[in-house]
Amino acid sequence: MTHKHLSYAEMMARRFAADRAVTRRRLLANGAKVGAALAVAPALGRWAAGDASAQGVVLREIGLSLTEDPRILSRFQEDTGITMEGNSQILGNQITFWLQNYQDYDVNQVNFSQNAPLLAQGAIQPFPTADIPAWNDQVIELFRVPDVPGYSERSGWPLAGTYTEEAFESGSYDTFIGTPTWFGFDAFGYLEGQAQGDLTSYGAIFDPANAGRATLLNEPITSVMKVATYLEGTGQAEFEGALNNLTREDLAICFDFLNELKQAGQFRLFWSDFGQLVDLLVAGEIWVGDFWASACAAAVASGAPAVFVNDPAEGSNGWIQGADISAATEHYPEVTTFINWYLESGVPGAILGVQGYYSPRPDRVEPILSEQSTTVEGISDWDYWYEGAVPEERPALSERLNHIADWQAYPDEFEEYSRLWTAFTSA
Amino acid sequence: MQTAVSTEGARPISAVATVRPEGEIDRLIARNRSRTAWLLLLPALAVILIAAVAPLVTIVWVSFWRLDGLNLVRTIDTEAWRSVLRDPTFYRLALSTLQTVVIVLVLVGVLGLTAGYFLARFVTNRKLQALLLMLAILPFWTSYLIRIITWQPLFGNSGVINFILGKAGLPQMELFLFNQRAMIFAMTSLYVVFVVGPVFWALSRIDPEVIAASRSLGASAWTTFRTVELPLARGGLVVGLFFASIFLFGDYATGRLIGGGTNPMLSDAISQYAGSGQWPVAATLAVVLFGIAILVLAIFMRVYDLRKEL
Repeated sequence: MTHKHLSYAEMMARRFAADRAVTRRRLLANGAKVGAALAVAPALGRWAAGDASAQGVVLREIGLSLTEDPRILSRFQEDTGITMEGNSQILGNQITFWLQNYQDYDVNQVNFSQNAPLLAQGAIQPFPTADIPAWNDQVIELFRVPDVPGYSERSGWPLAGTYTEEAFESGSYDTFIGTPTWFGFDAFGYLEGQAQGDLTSYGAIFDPANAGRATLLNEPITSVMKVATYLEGTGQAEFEGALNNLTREDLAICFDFLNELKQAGQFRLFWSDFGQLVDLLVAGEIWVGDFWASACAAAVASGAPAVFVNDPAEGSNGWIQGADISAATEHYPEVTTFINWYLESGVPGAILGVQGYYSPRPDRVEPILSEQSTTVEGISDWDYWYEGAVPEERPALSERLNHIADWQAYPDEFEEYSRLWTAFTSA
Repeated sequence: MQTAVSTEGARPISAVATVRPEGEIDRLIARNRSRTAWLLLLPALAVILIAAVAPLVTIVWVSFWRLDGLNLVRTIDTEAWRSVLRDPTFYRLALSTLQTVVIVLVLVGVLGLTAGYFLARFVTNRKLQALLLMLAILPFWTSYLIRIITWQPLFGNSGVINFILGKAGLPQMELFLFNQRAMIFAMTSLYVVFVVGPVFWALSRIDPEVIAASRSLGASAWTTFRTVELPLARGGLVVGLFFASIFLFGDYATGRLIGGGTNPMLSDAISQYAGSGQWPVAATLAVVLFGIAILVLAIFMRVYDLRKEL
């Protein structure tokens, strides 16, 4: 069965219309709420009540351009009267920027693989999960209990990355390092018709058939993790540490593998940002690599036959993006209102959802995405992006949770990762 | 009449002279001047202190901090220095940085000199001269990133050059993208302008009669260039190379975007280490890079005393 994908222009037009429809429905709903606000304010949560004392407060956050989307920030302001000023950063700058500037910011929307140094250096503060009412039984189990699909026995992630060490080890899960706001799975991608070999395995990146056309992200945490996922997933190595927290001996194995490949001319280049990756794909400079799903989508929109492999044979690498609270914020109540709104309103979840990412509160995203069809003709965005209506392109979330090798995390031996990576790229 | 007016209005010099000993006034003026001179210097000194000395001292200080697990300990510790000094990777990086800088400087020197010479000697029309010089400088009015990004459609696999080669039935090439050659070539094109201008000005300042004298005494054009023009243009050449090298040492984006991140420079490593919060190692590498830069600039100063130009 073939599916009719909307053209890029049509997709954009429909998404624009869908956003306006959401706004209209929400305005109506909010209008009704105003009358009932006094009576039901506690039940609805602060965002719906439009807390008078919070009106006019200005918060500041940093995040990826995806999270600092003006549609998200302006809806937050409409709903709560609180202003959030967003400052977009690229992934690689976020740790440095936050450590230098957290005194001037309230929220850091960050990949949780960066949390460890931020917490250790006192730039973010842990906070009780009870302060985020939307973090309740409706949150996807993955983030609430161990031993469900997607949980990594070896690393304890995603729970170990979400809750403080104490809350994780005691099993109380009552104190956040940060609140997960969206998550997804990294794998790899290729250019159809160019890349050779088995294209269901990370091995395609390391296949000599693609020598001189392969690439990796120029960053040790995620790239080394993919190599480890491949080596262990294919039985070529067995690691002592978790895939997201390798030991020095494990690292030696990974880098022996990488260095040998580099010497043989396997890698064309090491890419460093989203825009560059899209350009490289469109120009056909690279055929296979650890591409981001969103970059593949952007390349497709520009006419390149890029394919993102959702669930490689060796498993995907999960990641969590979430909201950390600045250790120096003077607006703690408004910050928790913001985080709560992020999950409860469903608005960011819907905007990020059609870009391929998941919300920890799918129940809040479903009502919005079920009402719109902006991706494949005749299929609602909810069915396409969450439910696997076109499984060969986009498996269901519940299915994908079964194929997670581990989650991106800040490894204990980061200095060694970094040192070996520098040696590898400069060799 | 005039003499009368002037002597009436002003105090007679002799009167002053009786109060102040000879030469005292000059000394007073001189002392006042030096006081004012110091005041004049203060803003500049303050700027240099705040913008150059303080950050430099801080960087040196940070290089002696320690990363204790994930905690940054503000102390005096040589750990970062030891880890940098005993790791062959960093020697390789330093060496390849120096090598890249030297190669690019030689290239921009040669190209800049020939282009400057061409402009000064072979383009006689003043307007055309100005126009050509402007054309050389023009790319600098576009953003660095745009200049670098245009590289791809030009030199890429499916770029203009390969398209032309393909049309002409010649083998396509992968010379100028994502390798060290490409990086050096791109840097040369980016920084050659620093040399063209100063060399052109230096050559234009040479009195034509000096050259005429050399030629009329039987020197060939080459000998004249070598023994008369080149020494006189040396100031411009060194000034140009001086500025080019300042940019070169700090340029890590060209290596990433054109070099493909496979031939990093020290500046790239600094950015990577700082980006992941490993400040002590980043600061140590910055001090090393600063040392190399000072070394190269000192060599320039040996070749030509820039202060003569001031």
